[in-house]
Amino acid sequence: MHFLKKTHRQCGSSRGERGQFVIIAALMMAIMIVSIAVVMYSTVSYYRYESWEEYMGVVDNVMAGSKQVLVSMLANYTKSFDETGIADKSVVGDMLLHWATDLYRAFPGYGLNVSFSKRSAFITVGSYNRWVNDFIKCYWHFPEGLSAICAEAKIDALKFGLYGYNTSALYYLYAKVDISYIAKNLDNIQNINVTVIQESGPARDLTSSNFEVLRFDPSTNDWRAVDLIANETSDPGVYKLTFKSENIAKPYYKWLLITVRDNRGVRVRLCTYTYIEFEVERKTPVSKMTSSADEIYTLECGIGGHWYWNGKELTVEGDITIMPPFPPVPIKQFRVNVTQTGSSSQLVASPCQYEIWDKVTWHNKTIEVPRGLAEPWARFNVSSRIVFQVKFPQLTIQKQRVRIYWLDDLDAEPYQGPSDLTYDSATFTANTNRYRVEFIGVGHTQSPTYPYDYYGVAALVMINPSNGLCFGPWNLHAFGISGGSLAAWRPYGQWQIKYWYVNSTKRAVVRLIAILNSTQVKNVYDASGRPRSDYYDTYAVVFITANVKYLQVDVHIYWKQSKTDDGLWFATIMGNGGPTNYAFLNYTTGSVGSYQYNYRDPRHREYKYPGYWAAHWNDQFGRGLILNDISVQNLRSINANRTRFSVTERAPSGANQGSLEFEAVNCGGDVYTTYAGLSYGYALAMWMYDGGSYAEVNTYYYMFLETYAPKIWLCE
Amino acid sequence: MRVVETILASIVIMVTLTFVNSVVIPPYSPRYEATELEKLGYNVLHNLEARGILTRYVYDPDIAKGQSLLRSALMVSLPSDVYFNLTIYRLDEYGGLHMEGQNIFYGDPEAFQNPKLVSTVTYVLASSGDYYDPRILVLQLARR
Amino acid sequence: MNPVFDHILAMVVVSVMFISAVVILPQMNAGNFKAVEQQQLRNIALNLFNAMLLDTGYPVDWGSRVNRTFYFYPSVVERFGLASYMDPTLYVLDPDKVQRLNIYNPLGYLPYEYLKSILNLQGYGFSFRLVPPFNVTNVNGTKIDEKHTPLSYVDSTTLKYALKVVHLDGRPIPNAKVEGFIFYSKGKDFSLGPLSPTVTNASGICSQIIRLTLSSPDYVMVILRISVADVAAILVTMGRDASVYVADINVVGDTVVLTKAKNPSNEDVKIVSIYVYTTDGETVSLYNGTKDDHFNTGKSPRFALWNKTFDGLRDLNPAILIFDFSAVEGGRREIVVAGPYKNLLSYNVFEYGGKVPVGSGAVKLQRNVLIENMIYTAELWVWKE
Repeated sequence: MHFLKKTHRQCGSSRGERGQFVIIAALMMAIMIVSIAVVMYSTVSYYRYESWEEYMGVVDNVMAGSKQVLVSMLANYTKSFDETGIADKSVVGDMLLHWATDLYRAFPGYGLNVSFSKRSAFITVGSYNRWVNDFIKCYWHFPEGLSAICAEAKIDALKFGLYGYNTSALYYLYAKVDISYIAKNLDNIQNINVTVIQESGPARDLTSSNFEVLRFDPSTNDWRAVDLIANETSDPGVYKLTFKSENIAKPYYKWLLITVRDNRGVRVRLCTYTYIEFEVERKTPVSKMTSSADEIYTLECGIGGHWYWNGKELTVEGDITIMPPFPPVPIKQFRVNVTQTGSSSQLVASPCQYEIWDKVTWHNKTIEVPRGLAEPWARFNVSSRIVFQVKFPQLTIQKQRVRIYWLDDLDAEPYQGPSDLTYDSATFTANTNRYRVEFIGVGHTQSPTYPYDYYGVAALVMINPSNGLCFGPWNLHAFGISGGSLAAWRPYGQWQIKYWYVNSTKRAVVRLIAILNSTQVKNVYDASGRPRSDYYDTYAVVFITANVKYLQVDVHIYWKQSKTDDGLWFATIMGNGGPTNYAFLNYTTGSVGSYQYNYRDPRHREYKYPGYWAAHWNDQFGRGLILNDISVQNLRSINANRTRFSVTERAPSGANQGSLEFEAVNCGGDVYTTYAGLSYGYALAMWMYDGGSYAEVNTYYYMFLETYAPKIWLCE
Repeated sequence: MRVVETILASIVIMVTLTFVNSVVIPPYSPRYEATELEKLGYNVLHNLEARGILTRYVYDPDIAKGQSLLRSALMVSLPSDVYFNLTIYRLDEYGGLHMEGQNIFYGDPEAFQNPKLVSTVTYVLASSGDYYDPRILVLQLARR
Repeated sequence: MNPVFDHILAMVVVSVMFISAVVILPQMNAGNFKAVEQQQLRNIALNLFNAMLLDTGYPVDWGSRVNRTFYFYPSVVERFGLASYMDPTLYVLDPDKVQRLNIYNPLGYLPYEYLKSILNLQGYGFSFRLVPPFNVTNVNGTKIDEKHTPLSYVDSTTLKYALKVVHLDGRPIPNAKVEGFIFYSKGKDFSLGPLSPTVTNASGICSQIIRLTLSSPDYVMVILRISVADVAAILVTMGRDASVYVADINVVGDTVVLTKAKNPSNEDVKIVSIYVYTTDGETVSLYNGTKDDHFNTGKSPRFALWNKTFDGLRDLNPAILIFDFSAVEGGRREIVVAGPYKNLLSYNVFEYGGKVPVGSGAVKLQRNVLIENMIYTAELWVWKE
């Protein structure tokens, strides 16, 4: 009972106190919430932290270092090109990769990943604008020039959670020379103004050592530096270059080269002129010609005002007596424009190529021979020649204007316009629209189109490209008879074919050059016979030219020992029985003798007084062999009485032949003995046409004579 | 009994709150100090490089002279109460680090004892201008 | 137990716990509160500092925007920032904008309260300072001012200066390079010439003799450029010039503006020539006055006395402009020298903003900045008001 009462009392009292505990609990909860709120507030505030400033410093450092790398690469690239003419862009990608790797090593805890890629940028400075791509781009040799480098950097910094931060970098040096003085036609100049601008604005800190001016010196035929003082004018970035010890007189002040180098080492080179112009005047007797649609000259232009056609240097005349010099620009930059219908008509692009020629002493005689196609990056120098074509499609056109200019983009490739000239090195065959020539000699002794093996004798197998008819070989020189067969001892050797530019996959578009430099001969009829070194040396150059009807051969012969035999030939070309008629120009009378081949009674027929040309033809094709003046003289020089034009109507095998031959000493007479030291040369051109008669050869042969060689006119 | 329960419950709650508070890391000012010094370090090196002075002194062929000038440059560029310790490394083509010259030091070595109060800045130079020749600068900063 | 006693005990215990919770808990968190407040203040200071030093503000050339009378109105500023819009490099400040923080700028300045309002800094105060990299004093350590000049006459044609170059904490700086230029005039004659460069010795002291071509000149101004490690430089000008009564010199962008002097002489003067001393230590002849370049020194303050724009002046990094004036009557010549950036580019600390309250828990941030190609330490103090 007492226990129960107590319990009841306890129960009754707990019921009454329950409400107070609810209040207490509520108070406790309130305190708890307030405290947690403070903790949460501090948490939120504590973690409100911006990490972007940390990686800003690293990114800034990476970009500053990348700038150093890019600018130094541009400086090295332009310096290398300026001093050596060599420029290699492949180092750029390698160096940036190296830099990115080093950055990763330098910031090991940052997880730094930097990669560079090419980016294009369009730079505009005033009215001058150019694209920059492929990392480095240089535009030189104009009155305005630019050297630039552009790259895109992508940066990841894993520590900061930074991914794909992209930024681009562009650094350049622009320069411009003020050429307004040229139009003023002063007698001389004492200074020039050059503007220099970098990506950050005008370059303000340049001194005299940052500039170099080259002028052309006619006494040395070369460029030389001019002593100068550079002062910045009141216009920011504009420098006045004053020549210290000399004024530059007209016309030499038109041709100046200015190299600007800023204090970062980046260079750019300017030229005060961008082209050289001259006129080509035809001298062929148009009154004697019925047409000139195919009168196309393949001219060579060399340094110092020298032009050449068919081995002869051309006469130069004009109002001005000094030829503008070629700037020392990589030869591949040059291009040629020619008028088509007279000097005042519009200039049109002409195919061109670049060759290297040497003056070689060959058996105490100096001869000019091509070495081959040029190294595209080599600078235009005394050995260089630009080869281009000038046509006179109508008899009324007397002069055509030629402009040789250069591109400012240093990445320009050699001219590679469309051309009908191709060469297949597998078959040793060169093709144009008019010719298919297979080179046989050592290494390729027989043509599949011609049944006879030449056992290493060097010759040109001539094939008609329109019908596949193989005419047979063109033999460059021959001496003696073997077993009744004519022209036994012929040059023996291997052809060197010059069709591609040196160290390049770019090809010739105007003409292919084949060179034979041989000290041996071989009897072409004697399979087992060995080549001999005791006869004569041969230096022959063949030009297979695109777009024209002619093919040129230039031959030099030197006899080492005395030999006796029947007949000495300057050229024999086979006909394979194709031609029906033949003719030749009589040197003495100037008349043309025209004949028919007699294949029913085949013989070797000889005719006196061969002149400038001989030809054979049928209704489908015709071929002429044209000699120039000096060649005719040389043909007659050995024994004028025994000089012959001849034909052979049957081949030794019995097949029809129909050849054309020029004999310096006829084989039909007595034996002839050569002597050591006997030396001569001759230039032959083959003219391929559509047959019918000899008229076309008789029209166009004038082109190849020295008397009628074109003339060059220098103009302002 | 209920009172005791309530009191016990309250004590438990209080202990919990106290425990939570002690576990929470207070935003300790010196932590920001190191970050602030790091930003200052980048800032100074960046300014010196922007003017070409850093490259000129680091790549000086006379290493001792270059480092002496660099020390003077840092002393006038940084606030007077900031101590520094700069080490320059050359990076070879195989990724190896080689120290150049001596440590460039200014201040009280004791200031660098507590790593929590020292900030470290790494700065890379790529080239003296002529050719690629990287240098890594490690700059430690501490406040007096 | 007595239930009353139970209740009282419970109430006491609960009350004690409640009070202790209310009082002790906040105190336990006080450290956090303080730290959190510091952190908030630091965040604000960081954002403000970045805005000041890295942002150009809007319009980007607000510091150079003036009306036709070359006066600057603060309402031009839509967004505040001191960074130079012409130089993309970080931490390069526009001197025109910095000059708008100079409350003594006669062509107008940006008031502190106005700036706080466009920065939305109500409830906070800040102080912005530009501290030079080192200090230059007299040899005895006293501050260089008009009463304590390091320049003295040895005789009528020989001047001498002696000064001491020290770090901000007082340590001497040896091998500090000292170079400069001197301008002086007497009567109608005017002369100028470079000073031979010299360096401070191990105690940071350098002194030099200057020979004059004019005896006892009326006005002499010596400008010295002191540089340490090619990094930092400050300029010291000493001597006597006529800026007090001829004109004050100001530069806004590429334009030079002359405003009324403190005590104008109320006479006609003409400008003979103007020279610029750059931060790189070069002296450039900027302009030769023509017959149109004259004015009355006492002209109304609402208009500029004279102005001219020189293209490319800013690119020269002009530190000090030296004017050679000639009084129209009497023909005497006076030299007026003034840095276009008053209180800047010298050994003085440039200050703007409120006064840092002592013990307020203000946050201080520092950065290295470039102004006119010269290094400064920019300091920002921020506190809660």
